[in-house]
Amino acid sequence: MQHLDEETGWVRATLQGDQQAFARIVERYNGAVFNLCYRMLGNPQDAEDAAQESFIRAYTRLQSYDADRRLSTWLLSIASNHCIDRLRRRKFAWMDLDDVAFWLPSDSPGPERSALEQEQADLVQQALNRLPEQYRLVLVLRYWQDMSYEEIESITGLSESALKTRLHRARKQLGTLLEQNGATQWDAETTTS
Amino acid sequence: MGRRNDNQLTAQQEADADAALRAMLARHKQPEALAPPGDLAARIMRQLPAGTPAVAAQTARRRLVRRRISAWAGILVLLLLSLIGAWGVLVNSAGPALLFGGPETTLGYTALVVTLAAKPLIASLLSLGAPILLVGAASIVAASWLWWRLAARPLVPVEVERP
Repeated sequence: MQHLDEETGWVRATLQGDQQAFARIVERYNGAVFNLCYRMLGNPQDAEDAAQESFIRAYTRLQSYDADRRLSTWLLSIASNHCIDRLRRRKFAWMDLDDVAFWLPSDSPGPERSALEQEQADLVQQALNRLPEQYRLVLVLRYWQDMSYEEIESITGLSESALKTRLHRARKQLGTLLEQNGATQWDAETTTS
Repeated sequence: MGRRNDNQLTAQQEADADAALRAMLARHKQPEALAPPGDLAARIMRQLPAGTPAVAAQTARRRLVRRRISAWAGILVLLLLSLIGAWGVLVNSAGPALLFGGPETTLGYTALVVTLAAKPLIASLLSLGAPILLVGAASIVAASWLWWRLAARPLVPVEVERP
């Protein structure tokens, strides 16, 4: 509750022209927004650009922020829309997502283990990249942002049943893609109704 | 009409599928939070528009209106030029030149030269006949549609959702 009051205060101060208050919002949520953009776009450079653009959009639209809504949900909703816009523009540029280079910084010990873990993590990211953007979004929000169904519904505008259907299909497709990559065996019994 | 939705899971199946995916991700060391670049927050703050959010929103709105006006102005200019060109090529060769003070002026002379240069090209296109022109136009439309479909298609086929 104190957390929410604090954020409401920051929003109010920003609206009155205090950019330092907005800096606190950026400081608190740039990690979450960057991670969402990274999982959606598949590479850190684009994720940085998208995160910057999302915060700038949030600043210019701050007047429309509804204080009854969680600030994190509102920010991630702006970032989600921006990432989907970017992915659509990419298609027109004939850019193959499979061709995008992936790397993840890792400070885990031992180069061999590090390389193996890197490969495993990349497999998941590559599988995510091959999913339709709407499927990718619900998976990222659910499993990487650890959001509840209500929060995802608020971001995507989906009804509960539509969200469950989409998540179910997204899980199945991600499992299938990972299985195709030889990464894991997907337990079909848990996903077929 | 009472069609069963095969994608609707019971609460237990939903929980099982959720847990199964979490377990599968865990085997891949996921979900893993990536640390954002250390200077990302500072860079965002440097790029922030000057003034309050209200002023920034107003500036953004004005920019959008200006961009739309420029786009429409461009379309209108192109349309006007096309109409003048069609008039010169199909009706009166000296017509466009007269709009600029006749062939004696530089602009009028240029308009006349462009009109006369375009005439043989348009005439040869028209000599192809209506059926060929129609087939050509249909091919262009079909190719554009195909390009659009290819560009807009999802990377993996999406099944139609039934809520």
